[in-house]
Amino acid sequence: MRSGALQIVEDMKKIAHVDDDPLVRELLERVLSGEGYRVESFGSVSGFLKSLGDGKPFPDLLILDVMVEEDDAGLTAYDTVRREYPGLKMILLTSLGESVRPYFEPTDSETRIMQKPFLPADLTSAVLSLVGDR
Amino acid sequence: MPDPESIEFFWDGDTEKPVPGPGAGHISDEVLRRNAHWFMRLRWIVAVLCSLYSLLSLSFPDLLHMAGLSAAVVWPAIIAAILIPANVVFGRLLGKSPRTDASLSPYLIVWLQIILDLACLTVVVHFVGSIGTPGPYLYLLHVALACVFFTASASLAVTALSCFLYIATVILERSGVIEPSSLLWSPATLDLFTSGQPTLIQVVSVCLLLFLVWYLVSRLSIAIREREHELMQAQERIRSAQEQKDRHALKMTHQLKSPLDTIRSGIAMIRGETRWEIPESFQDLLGTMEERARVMGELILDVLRLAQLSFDQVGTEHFRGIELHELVSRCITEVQPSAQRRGISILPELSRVTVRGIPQQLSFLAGNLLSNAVTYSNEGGTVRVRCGMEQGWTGFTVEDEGIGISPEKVRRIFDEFYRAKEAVEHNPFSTGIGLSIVRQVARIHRIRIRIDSAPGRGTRFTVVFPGESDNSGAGIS
Repeated sequence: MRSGALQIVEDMKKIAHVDDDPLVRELLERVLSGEGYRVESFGSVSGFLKSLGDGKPFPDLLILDVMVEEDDAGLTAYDTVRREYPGLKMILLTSLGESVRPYFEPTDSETRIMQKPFLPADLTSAVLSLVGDR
Repeated sequence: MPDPESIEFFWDGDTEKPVPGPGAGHISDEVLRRNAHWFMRLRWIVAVLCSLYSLLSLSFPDLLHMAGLSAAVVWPAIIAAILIPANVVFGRLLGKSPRTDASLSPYLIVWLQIILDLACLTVVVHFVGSIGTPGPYLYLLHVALACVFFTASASLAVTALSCFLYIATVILERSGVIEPSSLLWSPATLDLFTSGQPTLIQVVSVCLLLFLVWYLVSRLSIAIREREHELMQAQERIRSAQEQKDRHALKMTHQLKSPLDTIRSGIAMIRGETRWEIPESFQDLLGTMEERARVMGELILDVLRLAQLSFDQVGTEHFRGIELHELVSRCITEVQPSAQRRGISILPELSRVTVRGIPQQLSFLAGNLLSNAVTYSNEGGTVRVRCGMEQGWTGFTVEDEGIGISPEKVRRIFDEFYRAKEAVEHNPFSTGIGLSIVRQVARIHRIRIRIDSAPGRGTRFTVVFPGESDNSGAGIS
């Protein structure tokens, strides 16, 4: 019989976060964990995609840095994830703000673009609007 | 342990060597197919002329005699009857447009056309008159077209074939195998066949002229094709360089801005989590650090935007219809938080109006003007924004009651990094690039901007879209 604590953890909304900056990963994890979400961080797109293939629970939301790893691997990753996991909701974080739009314009309602640095309140609000309460 | 691997790098300064053009060597199927349509047009013209001549001969033979021409009904009709269906068949084989795939090789189809054309042309030359008439010079049309549209070797083959057919026609006429003919209604014309020297002179002259035309026109065509190829390569290099520059700017901006974003996120976290434990002086220090990092980040983004706009080769073909009132409304929403922090009211009067442009760039323009209006307003002030069509112009105005600009400084405010002394005193933290971005967007969209301002009394920016311009005021173009 599962313990109540374990059940609560398993019921929490799961958020995957990909960013090659360890400080950003720590900051985001602290913000969203504080709001009751379960956050799993990855330093690379390949690490995240591998985790999906390893049978881990599918995240409720993916927060993806646009310029992660080499060049614009985040943009390539968006295309891959959207193609293979069309139902996965995403928030794309970018330092470039509106300047990234000529290179990338998501057309689905399940994806948001947010500018770095993110205010904790703004990030929480965006997560809430996409996945609901923890 | 394995021996360390030695790798040598060398960067050749001239990495962009031009690729040789097609020159006299090769023309692609696509180009052949396109060029063959020119021969089809010539064939239609010849078919129509032959048909008309046949009809005229049938209906008004006396008219032709008066013009010094002999009537001919049968052979022009036969030529037209051959050329018209041939054109239809060739058209289907080549496809309805140059881009449609054909089942036969375009090269084979083109040569079939050339052989048929020269055969029909030889018949026309025979009946028009192979000696003493302008008839043989009709071959020049084919030779010239072949030089322009085909390779030098192919056009030489057309020239040689034309000469061969013409000489063969004259020989057959001279030997009596076929009766000489002429459209020029003059017995003297046929007498030319009885004397050998004029005949020889004309044949040699025609053939020499055909080869001379081939030489000159084919060389000219080769030169033009080489220039076209070099131009296309240059355009491709420019496009590729532009793309590389954009990507480089994007990467550089990200590399410069990311550390600042991390610092700002960290400061926000510290202030958010421990605000009750940090002395107020430290809070102020953190606030100053955050503000400086914010301005640095904005400067980096503004430099990127300005670089993108400065080298932008976007033409009006990339413009699309924009609901200007909606765009301005979105920009107002974005500046509302900073306006509210300083107690500044933004009063919009937005009428529905549509303009053409690039939405992102026009957002930069409107956003910068609104942001400046809020920044340089005094606390508790008002910013009025109007949008629509009035007094013969389409656009919007942004008007504040802030610090204003002195007349001698107005003309410099669009210079990069220029900031008037009063502006610096009012707001030390500004990138100084915002209005340079406005200028670039205005240049791309051919927008006129009028500025009405006085120190201490505020500033009004009037943005006028092309088509309905306001001719008064100190506008910039």
